Amino acid sequence: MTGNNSTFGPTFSTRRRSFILGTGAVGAALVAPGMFAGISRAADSGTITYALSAYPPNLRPFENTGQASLTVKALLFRGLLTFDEKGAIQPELAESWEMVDPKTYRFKLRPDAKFQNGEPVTADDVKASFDAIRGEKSTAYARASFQDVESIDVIDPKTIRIVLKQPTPSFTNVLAGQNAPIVFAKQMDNPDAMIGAGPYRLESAEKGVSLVLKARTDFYKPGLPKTQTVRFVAYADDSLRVAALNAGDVDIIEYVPWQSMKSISQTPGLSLQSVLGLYMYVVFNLKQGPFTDPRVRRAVAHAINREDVIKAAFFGAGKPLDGAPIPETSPFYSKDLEHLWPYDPDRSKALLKEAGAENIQATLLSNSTYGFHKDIAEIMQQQLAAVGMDIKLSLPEWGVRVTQGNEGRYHLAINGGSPDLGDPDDLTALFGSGPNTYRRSFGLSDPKLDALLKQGRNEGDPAKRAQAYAELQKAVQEIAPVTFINYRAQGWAMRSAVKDFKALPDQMINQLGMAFDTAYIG
Amino acid sequence: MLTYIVRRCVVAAVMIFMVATAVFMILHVVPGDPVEVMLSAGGMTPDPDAVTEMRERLGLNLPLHQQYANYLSRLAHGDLGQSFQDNEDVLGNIAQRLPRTLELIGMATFLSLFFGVPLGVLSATKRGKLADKVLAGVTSFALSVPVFVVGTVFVLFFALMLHLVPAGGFVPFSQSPRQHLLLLLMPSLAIAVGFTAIIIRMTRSTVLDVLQQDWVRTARAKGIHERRVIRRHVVRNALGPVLTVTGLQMGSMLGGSVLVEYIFNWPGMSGFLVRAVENRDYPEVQGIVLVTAALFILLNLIVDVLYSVLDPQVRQL
Repeated sequence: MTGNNSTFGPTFSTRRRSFILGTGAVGAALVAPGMFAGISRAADSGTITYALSAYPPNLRPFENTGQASLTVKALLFRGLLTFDEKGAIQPELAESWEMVDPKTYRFKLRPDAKFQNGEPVTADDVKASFDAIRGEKSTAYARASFQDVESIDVIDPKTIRIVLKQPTPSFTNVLAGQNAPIVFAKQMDNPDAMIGAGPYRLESAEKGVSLVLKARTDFYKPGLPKTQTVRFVAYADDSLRVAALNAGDVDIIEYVPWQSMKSISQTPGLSLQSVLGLYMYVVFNLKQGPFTDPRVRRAVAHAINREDVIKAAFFGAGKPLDGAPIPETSPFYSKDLEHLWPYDPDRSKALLKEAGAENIQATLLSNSTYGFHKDIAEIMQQQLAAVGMDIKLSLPEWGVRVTQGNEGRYHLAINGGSPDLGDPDDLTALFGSGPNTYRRSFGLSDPKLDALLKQGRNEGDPAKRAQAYAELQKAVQEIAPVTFINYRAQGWAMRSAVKDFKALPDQMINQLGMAFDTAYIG
Repeated sequence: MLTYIVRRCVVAAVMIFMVATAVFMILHVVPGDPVEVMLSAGGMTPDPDAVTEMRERLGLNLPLHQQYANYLSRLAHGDLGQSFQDNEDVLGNIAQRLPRTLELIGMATFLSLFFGVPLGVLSATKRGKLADKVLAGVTSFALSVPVFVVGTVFVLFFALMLHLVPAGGFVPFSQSPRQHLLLLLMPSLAIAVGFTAIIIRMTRSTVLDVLQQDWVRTARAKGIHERRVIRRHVVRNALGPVLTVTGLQMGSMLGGSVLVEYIFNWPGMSGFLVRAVENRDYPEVQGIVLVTAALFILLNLIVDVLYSVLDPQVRQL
């Protein structure tokens, strides 16, 4: 220290020295190689680490608390039927099934199927599970679908018969979906502790953080599952989830953010799978306001430039949807009916003129919780302004948005939808009448649509069914009870070492968890 | 001293009761229905019968005053209720998450004080010199960079480029102490960046203040060694306001570390609270807010007591 520092010099030279020493020590600790050795990476061949976008709120088999829960539950619970990679229905806990007549199904259970506690899966378990779903006080997700059931009869311990009130071809899709699992009948008091027959059992769970599932040795499909341990780790932040994959902390990530899709598909050592099952749509208030007039609703449908929405809100990862959401892979898809409301602002203006509604003021409800819902609303506001509509945005958080939607406090609103059954009967939830909810246009009740939906739903003959749904789409074009915006890409990214993990086709998007049966690290 | 503490404790109890009431009322006024949110999570229309049934099960069909009475009587027994989502005990869940947040806050505070106080003193004693100017620049920068930017840059740099640490996450201490601390370090450092800057600035200004005092001049005149003057007479007297700021800052981190928890996937209280609010899980929200408020009050109490240890005059007030 120099002389002019005599006042503080000696003190602070020592202090500074000790300070530098201190920081140096911390710094040395930071870079000491030993400290960082052995961080558990996702390279263990017997373990797949999967990054969920949210920690499952619960694992109750009959409730549906979102994609994360469904994915995990697919490893723990199984139903009578399931879907194969092409989306065709195949037996699962049932060894075989037959349609005795259009209203009656008979299922033969696998002789070797066991629950996680080692007890065999019997017809009594099937009956108890389905009775719990359709029961009067049930809060099960599939309760409404099970209202079609007339009776469930146990024929013998491995045979069960289900009689429907009327022919309903989509009922087997309900059974193959994830919301009709079979649980151990003698332990059904606590929905959080039910026992399923899936290939894995829950070994441990750290709430909000991770779940560890271990493969069973007595699973009924020989040689499966191929992976000993599946670790689910919740990463709520989109970019951290991608970072975790890049850093090698995890093997597979779900909900790949759209902006990262391109860079991931170009990264060596990583691969991307994406499907187009989920879609965005617009619901209207049909009780009051400008959209009670179908011409005005059609004007909205024609005013949306869907390509622009996809570019701006989804970084191009999507496909325009200007007709009913029936994917090309569906046997009910018809090319002629794919585009019901092509983008045409002039037509939109003409329709508004015809309806005498040229200076519309309306509230567009979306939400601030999901960025892409908000983005779509902002783009639509501009596009509707271009045909002369004055749109005010309402962007509350999700819980408020649900309540406002259920109560009809909007003129038009943005929604996300998913195919539930992989059957055109899914359209009933969009076009049919029913209790008011934010998922459906407020006050929707159209006799013509209801009749066609019912016809399609209860028609045993596939050709006549297709006919009914074609009629339905034509009616929808005219009435425009809702309009659609786009399919959005749903992506999974994984390390190339992950083998045989396949997202199912578009309309089976909710069945992802089944992919863990065959997936392994090679 | 004792009466001082007792008086503060009574005030604290009244405040906690007020918080309990306020959070209950606000939750029930805010639009959004827990049952609707829960049953429509799967993206399907909840059946009206199912909604009614679940409302009854959760006691949400009762008149508000009765729900309030039930809530208070449970609270009086130390029962925070069960989560609407998974029926788990709220207190147990808080007990699991709170230590993680406290640990994060503790580590961040330790780092901030460890670096902040010496640098603040240095800055004050070198007032106008290069070290002071550099520190002034660095602290303005650190204060103006939001924590989510710091966090994201840390992830990019340490996890993705240097591969030194995993990209966030949590490992229980019992499972692997080293990994646990390693994962704790990143979010703590991210918080500490801004916090250290606050401490440096605060320390600098109070030390400068104290350096002007007569007793410092007297101490120097007595020929006391300068190191001792700074340590005993300056720093000790300057630490009071620094401590207050530290206490307040730690309190606000209890509920305010949500961004850091989110970025580093650290399963603490803040993230828990945000999800509870999103799901309208009333018992969870009430429980978390209450515990947080109680801790905040406790923390301030501790700071006040510490203050009185540092400065005996406070005890007379």
